[in-house]
Amino acid sequence: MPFFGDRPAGGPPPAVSVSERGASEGNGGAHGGGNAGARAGGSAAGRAGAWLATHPMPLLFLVLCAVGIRLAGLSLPFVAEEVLTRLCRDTVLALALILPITAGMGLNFALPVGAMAAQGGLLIATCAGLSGDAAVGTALAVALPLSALLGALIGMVLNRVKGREMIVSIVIGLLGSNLYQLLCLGVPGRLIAVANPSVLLSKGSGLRNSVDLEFFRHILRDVGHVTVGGVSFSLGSLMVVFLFAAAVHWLLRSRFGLHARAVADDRDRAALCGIVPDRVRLQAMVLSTVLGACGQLIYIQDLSILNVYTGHLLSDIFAAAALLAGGATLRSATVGQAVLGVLLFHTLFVVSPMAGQNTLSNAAIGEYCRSFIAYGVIALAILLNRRKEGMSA
Amino acid sequence: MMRHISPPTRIMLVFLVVLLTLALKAGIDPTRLAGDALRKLGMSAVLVLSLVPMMRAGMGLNFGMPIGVSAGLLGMCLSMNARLTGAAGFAAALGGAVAVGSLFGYVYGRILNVAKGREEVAGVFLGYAFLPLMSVFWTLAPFSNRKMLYPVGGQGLRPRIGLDPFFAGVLDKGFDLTVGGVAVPLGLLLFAGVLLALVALFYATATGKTFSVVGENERYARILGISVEGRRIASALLSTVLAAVGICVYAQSYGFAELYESASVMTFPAVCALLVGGASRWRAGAANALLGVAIYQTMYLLSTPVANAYLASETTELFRMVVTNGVILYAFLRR
Amino acid sequence: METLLDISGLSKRYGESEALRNVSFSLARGEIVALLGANGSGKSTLLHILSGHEVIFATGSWQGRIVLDGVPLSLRSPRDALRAGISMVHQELSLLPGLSAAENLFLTRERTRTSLPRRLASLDWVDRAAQREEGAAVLAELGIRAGTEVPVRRLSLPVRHLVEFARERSRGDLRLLLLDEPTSCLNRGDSDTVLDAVRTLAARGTGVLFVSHKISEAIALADRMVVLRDGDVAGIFSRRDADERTLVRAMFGGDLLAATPHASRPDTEPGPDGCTAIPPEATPGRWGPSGLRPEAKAKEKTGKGATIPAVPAVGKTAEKAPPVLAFENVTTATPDENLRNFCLAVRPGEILGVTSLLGQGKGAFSRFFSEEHMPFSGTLRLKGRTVTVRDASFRRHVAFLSEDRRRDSLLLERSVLENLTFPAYALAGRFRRMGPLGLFDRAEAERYAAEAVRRYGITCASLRQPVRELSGGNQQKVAVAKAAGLSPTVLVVCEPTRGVDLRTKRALLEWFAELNREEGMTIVICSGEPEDLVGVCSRIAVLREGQVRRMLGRGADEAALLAAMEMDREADGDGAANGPECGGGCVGAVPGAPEARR
Repeated sequence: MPFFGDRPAGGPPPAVSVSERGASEGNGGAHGGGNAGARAGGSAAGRAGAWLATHPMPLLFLVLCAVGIRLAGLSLPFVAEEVLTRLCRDTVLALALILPITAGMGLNFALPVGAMAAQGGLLIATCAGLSGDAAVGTALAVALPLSALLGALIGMVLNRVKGREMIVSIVIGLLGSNLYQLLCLGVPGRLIAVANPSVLLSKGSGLRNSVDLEFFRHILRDVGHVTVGGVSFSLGSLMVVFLFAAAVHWLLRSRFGLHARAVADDRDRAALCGIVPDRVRLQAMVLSTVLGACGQLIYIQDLSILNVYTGHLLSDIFAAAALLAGGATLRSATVGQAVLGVLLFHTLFVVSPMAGQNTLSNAAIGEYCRSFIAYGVIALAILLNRRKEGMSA
Repeated sequence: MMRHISPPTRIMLVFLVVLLTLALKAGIDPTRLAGDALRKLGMSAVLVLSLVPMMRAGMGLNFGMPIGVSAGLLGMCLSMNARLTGAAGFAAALGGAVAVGSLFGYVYGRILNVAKGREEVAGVFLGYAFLPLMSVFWTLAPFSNRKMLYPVGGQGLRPRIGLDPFFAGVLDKGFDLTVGGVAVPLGLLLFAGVLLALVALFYATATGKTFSVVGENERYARILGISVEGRRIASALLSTVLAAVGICVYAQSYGFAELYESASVMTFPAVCALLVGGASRWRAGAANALLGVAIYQTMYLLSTPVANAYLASETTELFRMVVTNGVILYAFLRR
Repeated sequence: METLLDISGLSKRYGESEALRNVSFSLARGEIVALLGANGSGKSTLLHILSGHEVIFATGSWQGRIVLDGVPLSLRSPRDALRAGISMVHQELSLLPGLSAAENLFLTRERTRTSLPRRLASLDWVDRAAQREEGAAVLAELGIRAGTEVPVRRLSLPVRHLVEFARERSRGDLRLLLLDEPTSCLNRGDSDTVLDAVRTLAARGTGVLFVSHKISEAIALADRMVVLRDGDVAGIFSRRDADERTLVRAMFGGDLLAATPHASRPDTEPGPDGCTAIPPEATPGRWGPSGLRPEAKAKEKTGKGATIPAVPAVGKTAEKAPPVLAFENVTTATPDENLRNFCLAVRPGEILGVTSLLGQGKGAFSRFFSEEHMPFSGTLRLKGRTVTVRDASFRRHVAFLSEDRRRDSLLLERSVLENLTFPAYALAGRFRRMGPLGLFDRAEAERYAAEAVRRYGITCASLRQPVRELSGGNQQKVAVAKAAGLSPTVLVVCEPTRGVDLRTKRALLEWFAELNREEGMTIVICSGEPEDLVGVCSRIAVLREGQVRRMLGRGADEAALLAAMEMDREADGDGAANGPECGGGCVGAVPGAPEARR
């Protein structure tokens, strides 16, 4: 896994001057500190251990998970199955955050907008009374272009507030959420007739709080369902997640990914090299929003129930916390970190309430702890994110 | 200081006029409206004022207001737990709020010094992360006053503690006055007014000006030998303490102290109010707070009857949020 | 030789000031042309126009005609320039610090494993291995064997310069190569490598236009030299008929700023400074255009860099008054340019000049005052007492004006009145009423400010006008008035006449002389412009590699100063790399853009 991780802080750069013509830094040079130990061969477990030692965040989460599982008293197969389910359900949302980070825009807290586009597509299909493949097709046909369009809008707005992308994306997410909820309340049944009255509230206008999606239920999860050693999971879902992960990885290693890193590194210098930073940033945002929509679609099909007014909330927080738990920073994130992070974070998520119940007879405490961890991880990442200064070391 | 009216202010004024017209047409009673408006102004003024010190110090909008609010709630709970009532109870609550708020504010300021340039995002998440911690505290702390605790079967403090037995309305009803049919909560307005005046006065002094200059141009301040870090911490402390006091004022008027998640509900409306009052990166003062609160809270008040008369009532809150967040976004884009 | 580039009538304004005025010249295929000129003469602006820098277009674009290979160009962005075959090696370097050398080399011309159609080209998978190999080969051509996978920020500065040079010259479609101070941060050996590579490029038919302040290098490399002065072409010389003297005269004009007679007290001659590190040197009196003194003439070496003969100090020995500000073996440890064993004693009542080439110490000197948390070793003494920059007492007594007055010395949104009176009001207890409260006494402040405006000739619509709206020269006047108003013991100004019109320049320098004469204020002028120092300062300390290497006396002129700044290049040889300030700074600042322009 490539790590564009942390540089040694301060101090003059080690002089690799021309006069040391004999000396060679060696290829694959010293990216970030401490990899030398990890690279020194040895068993897989040994290397994993060494890797963990240099990556505090995943290590911390691993410890927390271990403690949590212990306290919750849940059986391993149960936890394993839950975790695999969540891996399939939540990974793509975490993947969606990688590209804006790579392009130097920080965490995309406007991700719920993509989620809302997905929900919008599903709701339109439901309201139109469609079913089966027609419904799925319509939902996709609405959700994906809509999310691309919204992503472009968000990208244009964020291009105007360089340096403050994160806080503005938070406000965009909140505003979008309010508008979406307003539309859900005010439009169906009142301004636009609905072919399927069962989705409406009892008073005849506005959508219900939750809608059961027959046509969308488990369409991925049911594909290739297997049970291994008491743990059941869906090969189909895993396959789809794997494809998305591969796609994001490809993007990171493509010209686009390189240009995004260049823009994140130094926008002005990237412009001097012939790159158009605003365009790269916009593209990153569009991709992120579309992936967010896909991620939300996957999430909902797994859940099979759509919480109309609240389904999209917190999608950005959990995705961000998961990504950071896997070792990503506000400056760089990789696919591996997303996957690892989802595993760790959602394991913790699953076990916290039971852990709280067992130790303090109060499940709520467990929930408070996991909220604290989720927000705390993000706050920590923000605090630790120091701005580089030009070309200094 | 407001040579020209800033766009957010203009937008809101127009919106307000529209709402006012609609409301009057819907038959709302103007005197009651005025009385309510004054009351809401007094209630929220200090909370909005709390945003001013950090804004002036160049630390942006204090999205970490929940930290100060939590301090205030803690102060109130301590006072209630000691079974103090009336003016004494409120004074004790204020004392507790200031003490706890100072501590929280100092730590908050030191943490924010690490996050120069991104205080606003950092504040958002520090605030959000702090609330669950406080929630654990509300659940586990050994409060003894049964009027504060969950009824049988639950653990910890109630999410919504009624203040009537304690110090609800202490300010509102102190110096009750009726002018031309309008019920003026003089005590409340005086209290808020004094705080606004004190803040304005502070920034008019030489010391206060050194605080302002830190926010305007940090390098300039450093070259003159002004301690930038120290003033930033002091500003965060001041903001936190004012927020703590602000929630006490709000709660005594509202009649309830709302714990747990509700501590974060005030933040965005307060931010919007300050922006509507014309505050910006370069100019933020008590006057902006006052104007902003007046306009924002009136809009808030008017939205209920208008929504009831013309639209579905559930959408009221959503409309308010759309306006609030929209104004904030607009202000960000303009900076 | 056929014409490659033809520039005619090129003009550029930044707001009210003219950076370039009707510049015309041409460049033939395979020709190397040097662009010379003093700071602010427009040479950087010209390069930025040719390379399509965005600031140019954002500030009103340019007028005139630029024709490359018969095709007129509009050059609105760096991409336009690159597409036209013009590429530039920047003084501040355009390498991305976090990317590896290989990635930088091939940026926008990546080697990929797939070849998707043009619209989807950004999805091509980058072939890192191929880039590594090819990159190593390209760098090896210039003698670099450093790893191609190391992030560029960890390479030393000279290597970075070479990498950028390698990148630009390896472009297949290169027609015109622009170089902005190509060797200012390189030692002898690397400079020669670059210069040889340039000659090879030219031999292959690429046109080369380079900006350099090193006149000797320009003469050695270029076929022709275009000298700019105040935005005009002051002369075009071919290699044969140019020598340093002629070029310097063309750069600065025959009429040097009339030396303001000043009486700095005491009558100071350069002498031992109290630090053993500095060898005392003295110039034997005035060298002017009128000719050299006979005995000095014999020792003068013409040609590549005039040297200053060491002559025993004549005249009075320095008065024994203790220095008001003393640096003793100060060494800073920042990633950028540093001071190294820096020793300087500022004598009370003198006007001391501090200068160096870019990256050789004057920037570090300036930043020493403006950055509080700069780690440093050594001792700083104010009137004999040890202090640090952070002490409030230091700031009271040492007023500092940095080279970026808009950023550091002024509150742009506030009025002239507030800017003039704020420090005194907030920190020195003036203009106050209501005793302990310390409210602002507007009436008294207005009186003071009106007097200052009148006395210093500050042009403003009213005292309430926001300082942002004033011209550069007037802003500088406000900044100086503000600093002087605190009656500091020492006034340290950096680049005081940058971006200031000619009249204000003279006014400011005369103002310094007056402050020194009438109030006995000690002044330190840190500047890279000889005009700020010659004739004004009683002593000029010339820095190299963060140390004071030469101390010139009152009689030194521009040529002597320039020679002193360029000295020791031979002595350096293959020495260690210089501070990365040259090439490491912020790219957004375009020298020549509004802040820096007159």
